[in-house]
Amino acid sequence: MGKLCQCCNQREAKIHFTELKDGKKTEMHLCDVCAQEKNMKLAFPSLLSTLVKGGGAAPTAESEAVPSVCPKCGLAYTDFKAKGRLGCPTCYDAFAAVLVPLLEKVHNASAHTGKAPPHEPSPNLEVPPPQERRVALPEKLEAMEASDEADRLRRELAKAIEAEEYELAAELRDQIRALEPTEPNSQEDGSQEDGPQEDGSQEDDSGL
Amino acid sequence: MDFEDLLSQSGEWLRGSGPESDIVISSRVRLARNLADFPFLTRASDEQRQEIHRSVRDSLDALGFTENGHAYVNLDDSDELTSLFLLERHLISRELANGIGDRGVLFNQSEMLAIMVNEEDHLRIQAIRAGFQAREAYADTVDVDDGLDGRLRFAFSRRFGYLTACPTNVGTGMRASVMLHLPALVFTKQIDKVFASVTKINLAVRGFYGEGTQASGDFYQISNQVTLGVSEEDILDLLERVVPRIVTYEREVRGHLMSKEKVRLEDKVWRAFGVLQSARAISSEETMEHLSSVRLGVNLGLLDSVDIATVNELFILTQPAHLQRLKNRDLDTGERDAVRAGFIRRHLGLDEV
Repeated sequence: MGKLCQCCNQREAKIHFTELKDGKKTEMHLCDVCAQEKNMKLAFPSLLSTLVKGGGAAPTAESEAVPSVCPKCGLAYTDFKAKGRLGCPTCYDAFAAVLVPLLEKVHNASAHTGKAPPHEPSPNLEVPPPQERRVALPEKLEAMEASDEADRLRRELAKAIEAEEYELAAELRDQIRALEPTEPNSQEDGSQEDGPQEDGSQEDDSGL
Repeated sequence: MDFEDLLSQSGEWLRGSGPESDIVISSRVRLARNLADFPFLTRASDEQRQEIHRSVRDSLDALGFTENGHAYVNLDDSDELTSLFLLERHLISRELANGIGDRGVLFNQSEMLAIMVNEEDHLRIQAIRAGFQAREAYADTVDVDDGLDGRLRFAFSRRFGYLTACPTNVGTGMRASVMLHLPALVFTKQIDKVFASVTKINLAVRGFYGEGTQASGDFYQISNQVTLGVSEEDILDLLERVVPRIVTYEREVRGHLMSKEKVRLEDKVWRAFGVLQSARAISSEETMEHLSSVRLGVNLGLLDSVDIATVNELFILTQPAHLQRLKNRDLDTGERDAVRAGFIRRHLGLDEV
């Protein structure tokens, strides 16, 4: 077993990278689980090598179904592992057995649902209804923002009370109430008549 | 269009117009495409590269894209300074600037449309619009995409969509991004919270010059992370839901600062303006920082002696390659800082040209 994960100190570190922040370099060694928890966006080649070197993808599937080179362009599968670049359009089919789990990891999907070239006969789509996905993503944000926003307002409220600015406090309390019910509609209303923003734009004018 | 003309103008997307332009500088969409009958570039021979380049150019010619008002630059024949210059203007990517072999870029006079050939993929079609106009930028790229589709056969599979050299771009091959100016969120340290929520929903945050660059001067690019299993509409939709929220948040905090900390804010803005008007040597980083404060000041009505278009342009025109082209020679860091300071003073109207 190699190096232990710096975060949990239990599992083997499988993701190794150097972080550049404010000009300082920090080396990090994390296991899959902690890396995922940290919601890291890794440079693709490093992510890829983790996945194909036995991190995520099942090695058996790899050895069974995947040719060692692409029959069309001759790209060695090992080369793809090392560089993260495919050699030609045919590589996608040739290496499909290992690409699909990889695509699942990277895109959380492995099938195209977007535009096709106008000259391409239109595909029989087994597309998930767009409605489902369209709502799913933003709702997550809305919920997150609602709680963020409520937190922020609560802090403001505490400050306002401390400063004995009761008028502002009352306003903030109303805004927090407006955020409490989590139905998207009421939230939408709440953000539209946002107190601070209105105040802000009035101030802008007087600033001129 | 003469390439030299570029020095005296700037991209139309920098003019400070467009929806939400106080906060959203620009919206950019790029589509990655490859020709079906050629290997991707890492496996292509020099002859194949040239052939790809030629057939793309021929098709663009046939579509009228190379008529008047367009410029074409062959980067293989160009010096490093030219590549850097185009990179600074957001006309080419870092990958194309640093690449080797036969490659080039075609762009129109407004610099809102740029078509890169032999980048990581055979084709990268890019459109930039001022303000929050991701949908319009996407429509611009589709015009080119559909136009070319009649003449070139793109690598496309029903299963995986548009096939790209790197599997992170496969599917739609689409990256839509908006450049946001978020000084108030940075100033009040709210920015990390915004990024935490944004990255959770598959959006990526990058700096002023895209991938791998640090955000500087309070500018951030937000773009879709995922290209497969989502439609182009989904990608635009996601941005259209998220960006207005960030914009509202930034405005709210600006309003708060105006009502609670106006003096501190005014002080920051005017000091920044003072430095830019009087400095005799100034680094790129310091310039970005102060221009950001001035931009905020103009948008809040604290400062009216300069317009937004001038401020926006200065972000680009004060970059190293622009200064060197202006002087027509290589400049070391010290010389650049002096030239930059003079250039800024002239643009802010204090020194005579």
